[in-house]
Amino acid sequence: MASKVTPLYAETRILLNLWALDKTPASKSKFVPSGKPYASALDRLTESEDLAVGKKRGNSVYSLAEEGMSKLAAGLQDESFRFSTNIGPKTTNALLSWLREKNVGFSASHSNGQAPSDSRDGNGSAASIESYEDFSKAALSTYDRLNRDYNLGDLVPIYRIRREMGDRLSRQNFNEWLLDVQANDLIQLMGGELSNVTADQLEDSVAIPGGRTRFYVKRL
Amino acid sequence: MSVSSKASSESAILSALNANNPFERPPVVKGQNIWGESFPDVLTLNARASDSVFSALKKIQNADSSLEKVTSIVFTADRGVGKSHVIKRIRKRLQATSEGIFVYASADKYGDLNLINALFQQSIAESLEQQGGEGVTQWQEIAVLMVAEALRSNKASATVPSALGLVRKFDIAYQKTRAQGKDLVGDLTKAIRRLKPGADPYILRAIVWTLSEERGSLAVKWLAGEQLEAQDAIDLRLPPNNKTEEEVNASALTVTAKLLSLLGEYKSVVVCFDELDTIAADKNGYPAAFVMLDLVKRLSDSVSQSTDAKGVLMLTVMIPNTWLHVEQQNAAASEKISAHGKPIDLEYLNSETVKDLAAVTLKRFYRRKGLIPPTVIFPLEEDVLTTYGKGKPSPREALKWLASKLNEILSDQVTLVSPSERFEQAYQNALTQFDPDELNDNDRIAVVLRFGFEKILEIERIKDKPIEGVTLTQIEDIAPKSKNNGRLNFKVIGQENDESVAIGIGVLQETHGLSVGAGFRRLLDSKTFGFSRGCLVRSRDRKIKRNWDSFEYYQQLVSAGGEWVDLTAEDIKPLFALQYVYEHHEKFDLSVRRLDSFAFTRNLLQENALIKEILSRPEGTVVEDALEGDELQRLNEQADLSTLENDLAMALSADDDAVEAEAQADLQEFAEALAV
Repeated sequence: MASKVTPLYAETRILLNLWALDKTPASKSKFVPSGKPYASALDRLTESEDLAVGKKRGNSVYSLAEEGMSKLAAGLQDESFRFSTNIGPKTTNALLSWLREKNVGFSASHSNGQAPSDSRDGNGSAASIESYEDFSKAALSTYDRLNRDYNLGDLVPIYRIRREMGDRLSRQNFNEWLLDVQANDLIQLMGGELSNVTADQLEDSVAIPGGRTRFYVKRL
Repeated sequence: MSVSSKASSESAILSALNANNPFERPPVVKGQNIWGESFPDVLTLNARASDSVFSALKKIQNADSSLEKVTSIVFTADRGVGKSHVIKRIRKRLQATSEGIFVYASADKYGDLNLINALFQQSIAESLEQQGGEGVTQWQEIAVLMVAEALRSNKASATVPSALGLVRKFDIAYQKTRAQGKDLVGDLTKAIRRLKPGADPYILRAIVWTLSEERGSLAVKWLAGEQLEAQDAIDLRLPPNNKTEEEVNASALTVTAKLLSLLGEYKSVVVCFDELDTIAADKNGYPAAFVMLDLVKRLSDSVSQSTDAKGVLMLTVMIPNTWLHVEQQNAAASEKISAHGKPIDLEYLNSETVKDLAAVTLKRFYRRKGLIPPTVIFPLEEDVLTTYGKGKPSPREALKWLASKLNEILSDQVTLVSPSERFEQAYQNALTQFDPDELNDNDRIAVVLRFGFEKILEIERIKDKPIEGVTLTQIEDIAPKSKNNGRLNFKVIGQENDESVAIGIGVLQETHGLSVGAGFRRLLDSKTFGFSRGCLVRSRDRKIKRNWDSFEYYQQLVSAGGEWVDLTAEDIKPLFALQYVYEHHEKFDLSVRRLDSFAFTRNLLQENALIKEILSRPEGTVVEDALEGDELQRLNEQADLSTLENDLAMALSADDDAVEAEAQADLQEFAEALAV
């Protein structure tokens, strides 16, 4: 349904397809979906130098410029970018490799300011966490935000907190400091029923010394 | 004495600990154990939770409005955090202070959740058969209060006997007044009913009957919603409850609400709903937690109290996840289940309470062994416990950790002796740690007994040799579970001279008739459960009273080819010890294979007297020594059941002044009869 193809949608898909190609530069038939909106999107991207254009055996070949990378990140972050119909494995796999490569990718800090990383720690930055004090503050505000946004009823899974904060400190520091926050009576780590828990969620939980795994945090 | 004030020698303490590690066999409170006695308690732990129940009780006792007389509290805690422990503390405190009646309902024992109302009625009846604070059962406590109130309203200065005195004299007084052509129970019921006009007259009558040593157990059976023999119903002048299970269940919600409402008029009632988090579900697929919580909600809607009542408190304990679901799915219900406010989270341990737990456990151990340690947590070290406590373990985790920590400390103690000496030492030590209180725990005994039978099947050299003529082939669970309600424990299946035998085992150590009767009925129902004979495992010194329904059942069991096997500490102890050594075999550096071989060469299984007695052919005789009391004397030999209900209705509605005056005079005589 061509009428639903917005410029943002067309541009982002082109950028994504190009990004996912094994070989660049590539000719446009390799990454530009057919249809008028895509043809004009390609023109815009070339004009704004998001794509670099070269020549190969007389044909135009394209590769992703730095600006294009930013645009792609921003496009994927943009909530108005959404699929309205089934898409093939090519696009979904491209998304998958994006997610994998960027390690959930949502910390694209050079994007246009819409990345949720800003609202995430309350202190407005995704800077690395170097001290227990910083950790405690960040962890509790992450807890509060998850608890509120997802209506978790004061039982926030540890793995979700870890994944929110994961790129800002080492796993070991996370474990140690989380236990310290508990020792200071700010939180209680709880076991919970683990029947529906996946292996990776369990892995991202915390075990107490000489005891079993804790799955939830409850703020005291 | 100066000697006793000095600490015992370190080596004496260490060798005692080496023999029995007190942390390895912690008293886990579960089910039946709620009613038991022995109980090391860290009072500081979860004091807030237990205190909140008592302050809520105060509040409902003093509330002016009858609407505030019914409340509910929720405790949430993960497994192992000590829910049942806190429940037991509350139960004991209620008993010690005579502050209230305690009812315990565990979903764990509810086989068929479609009959939840009827099962809950059973739980009320069974709970109230437990000892209250004054040496009488909780039913009798209530009955005594009812009678006392009636006597006082009759004559303000009436002397009311003590609870125990009333129970002792009741049957005599009854017979005395009966010889004069009077119905004491009827008169009392009428007098009580004048004070509590809304109460169900049959329920009042049945509760008054619980005072009778002779007919009390039948009355409790009726209160549990069970069917009475026609003649018993006539004698008690109660409707016989001739109903199907479904019918009983349908009326049980009303009956239980009436019962709780009535009990609350006389004493505060704490109803505790436990073990909700089982995987069982009803026929509509609702999980146990949902079914139980629905019951709590309906009860809180239908229990009613007068402004003078003592109040009813419903305490529900569950894991936090379960509560989360309740809250998210049905906020309205959550307010009824936790009227007291947000659920109270039970605490995990911290650095202080880990030390307390260690100290309490060791104190009990040292006292039993007559030892005086240099510090309360010796040989553990304070800073190690402090560090460990920072992780906030659950009590169950902590006990496990403490056990292994202590074993680490003691590992220097292990002298290198031969495996057979190691076994002998471990086994002998294990024998000494048997706690007689364990004889009260049906489930624990059944587990140990089943372990014995399963081991026989596992050990090649024992397996194929018949014991008392029976070669074991299999141990099975009791099925269908829905009919069993946790009463019977397991089935032993084997071959006896080309004939297969299937023995249904029921460990029934309860000392009141209701639970024993319920177990007996299942032992007799060999068709439903598919066994060739039923085997009651019960200490013979826990006599069966001839006025219990179990007396009849016992005779039926014997004539159906079943038997009552005597459970003695002497016979079960070796199985407890053997199971312990298997469970901790790594600690003793003994492989399971080696243990199997020791068990075989020492004849610990094949020659165990209890195992042999269960497998041997029943003698087919009733053991008179295990019975006590007299058989029931029929009261109304000529009466006919069909006229009973009319008769009852008339007797209960007769309210005119003449009858009233007569009843008062009768009460006067009763008071006099009791005073003698």
